[in-house]
Amino acid sequence: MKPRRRITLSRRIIQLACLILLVYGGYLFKGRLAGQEANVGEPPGTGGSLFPDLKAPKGAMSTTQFAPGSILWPSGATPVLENYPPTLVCRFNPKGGLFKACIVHFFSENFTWQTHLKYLLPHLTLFVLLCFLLGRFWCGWVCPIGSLGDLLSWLRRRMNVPVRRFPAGFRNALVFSSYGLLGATLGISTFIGLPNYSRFQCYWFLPYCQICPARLVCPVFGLIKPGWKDFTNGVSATFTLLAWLVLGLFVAAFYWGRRVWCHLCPVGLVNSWFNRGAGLELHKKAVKCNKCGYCADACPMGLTAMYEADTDRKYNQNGCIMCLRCLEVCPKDGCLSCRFFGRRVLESRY
Amino acid sequence: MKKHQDQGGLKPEYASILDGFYRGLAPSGLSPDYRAETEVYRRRSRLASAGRLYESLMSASGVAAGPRVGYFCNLVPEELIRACGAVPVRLCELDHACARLGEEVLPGDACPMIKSICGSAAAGRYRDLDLLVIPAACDGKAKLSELLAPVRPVYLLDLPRSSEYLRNADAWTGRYQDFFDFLKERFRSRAGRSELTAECRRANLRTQLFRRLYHFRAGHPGLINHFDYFTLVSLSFRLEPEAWLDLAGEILAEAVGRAEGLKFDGRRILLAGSPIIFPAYKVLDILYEFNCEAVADSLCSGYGHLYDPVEIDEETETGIIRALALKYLAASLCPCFMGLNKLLDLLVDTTAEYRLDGVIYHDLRLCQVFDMQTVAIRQVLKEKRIPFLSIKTDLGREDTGQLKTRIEAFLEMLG
Repeated sequence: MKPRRRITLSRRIIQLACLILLVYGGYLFKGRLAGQEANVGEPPGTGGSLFPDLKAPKGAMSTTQFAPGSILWPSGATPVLENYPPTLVCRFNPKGGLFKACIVHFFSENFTWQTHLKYLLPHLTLFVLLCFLLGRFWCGWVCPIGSLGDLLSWLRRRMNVPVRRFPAGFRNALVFSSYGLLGATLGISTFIGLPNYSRFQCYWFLPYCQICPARLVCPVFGLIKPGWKDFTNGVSATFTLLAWLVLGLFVAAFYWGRRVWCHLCPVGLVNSWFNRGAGLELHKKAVKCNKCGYCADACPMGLTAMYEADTDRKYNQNGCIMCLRCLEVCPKDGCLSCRFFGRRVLESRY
Repeated sequence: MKKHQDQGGLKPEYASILDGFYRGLAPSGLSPDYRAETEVYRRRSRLASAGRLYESLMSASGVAAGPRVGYFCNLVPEELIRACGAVPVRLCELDHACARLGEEVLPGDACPMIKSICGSAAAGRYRDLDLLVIPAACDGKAKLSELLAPVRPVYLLDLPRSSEYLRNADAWTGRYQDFFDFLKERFRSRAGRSELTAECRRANLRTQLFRRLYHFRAGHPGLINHFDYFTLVSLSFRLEPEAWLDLAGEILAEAVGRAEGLKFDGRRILLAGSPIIFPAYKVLDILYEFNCEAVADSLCSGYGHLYDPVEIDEETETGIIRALALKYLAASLCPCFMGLNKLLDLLVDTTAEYRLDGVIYHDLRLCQVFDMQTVAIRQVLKEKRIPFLSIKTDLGREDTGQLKTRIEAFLEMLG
């Protein structure tokens, strides 16, 4: 079995490196690459950078305004880079982290602020470019929260607890809910940005962040207490309870179901739109398949398309996180292959 | 110990009646002597190390000590048996003398393998085993679980008869788990995932070497001839993986050393269909006579027995058992498990990959399922322009002349 674990081994190394880089980036690079201090009220793009530092307009809510003890704290720290990569890099990382925030945070914030499109465009272009390059590779190999989840799965395997395999219907329901979460987030964010409704901003600002488990988990890396409860009013209390519920779901999903959580993650959802057209492709040579089902069995997202495939073509699924586990476990030489813009990078080999 | 009804088998009363009948059939026992055949095949081999190979057929070395579990078919995971400290022995056999004795027990139109097994059992050749494991693959094998019950305790491994992973993976895992629990209880073993992992690793080492040997044979036909090859696989039915590795490693090493500048001017074909097990090499003999080499195969006594590895995805006990189920059942080419798609893919792919001259389908007479799928294979291969010959035969040597004519005509047709 010696050469068979190469892909997983490299994946673990990259995941660990990314976890350290993305979460502790704030500690590692602060002072060398740091941007300017947050200066609320000035128009973005004044720094002369290619990627403008997006800021709240006068009078609007911003993440720099939260005090210790409130639910959206700590978020004030300046990140090293003002960019939004297609993976879950949290605004709530200790010391700001390497990148600014995830794409859902980006949308929520800027929909509320009604930031001009010309400031958003550079960020969006970079995001789309990265997505088209690698698809959901970002989820499988880079996302720090996914890496933590993999750690939970590893713990389960160590304890000899078998994985729960959820039916496709359940997983589809999660994806459906993910659309709901993203839609609600964008809807609320736009609504509270309207001039007459800005009074709601103090409680409804960044609605998805308020329940996202990354917000609760990330600060812990910097030994900072996350804003884990706020019962001052009905809205905050609801968000607090929801956040707890979602955190429980998150832990349970990763513990029992490997990457089941990733079906629900709205950042993963946005990435998944690019998966089918991404430069990174999975191919199957159907005639070589012996239908052993190892690929479907090993898929952390529970996808079976690769197993079912009967024709030679590209099989990039929306749910696929490009962990290449299927390719690694495939016992038939040359049956599954991974290509980058048509060029064969890896293929299954026993 | 669970009740006999759960494992398959007969009530003690009925079993003893049947046992009395068996003992009357072959009171002096039956121990076939293959010395003449071994000598023939040893002389045909081009390798010096083949001497040891054919000697191993006769000797009992390389077989571990411990309670012996006899099993049939390529659907019973050896790893589970080994993990419990028992020694698995695959009993599938094709012996003409035993089959003739088996005809006293079974109707004449039963499959030759079932008759052979029944004859062996009646002759008392299984009496030193501790347990018989019989998968309900075909109807014949399933029925054996009752007919062999008087001879030894029987465990009937009842499996859903379709190799569709999506529908059956959970059911298979459950059946294998039950089987594993039964074995643990029976052999007072406390085996868990570490034992299972170790056994899977041993089996995979064997698979790795087998794959190298398989690919080598396709590239250098004739050096390890098909007799050596099928004898090697037949030996893996009972040898410990290490002993087998030693034997096969020596053969492969010698062959690789002599591969330089070797020429083969005969035909290279793929052999598909019913199993071929020593000493039933009638078809191989005829092919050898016409300088035709079966360099690839899809038989459960060849490719199917050793080619597929266990790929452990989750190192939990359930995960390992599931991986075993996928190796033995999802990837199975057995016609009882509706694996026709896989078989066709394999035939088309292998003939293209190794540029083989054609496919010969070996059909043991009276096996319905092998017979029935011939039509599909013939039509598909015809469409793909792959020469195809289907031969129907049994264990006797009476039809040798007729087979020779047909095979010769086929090989001539290849041009």
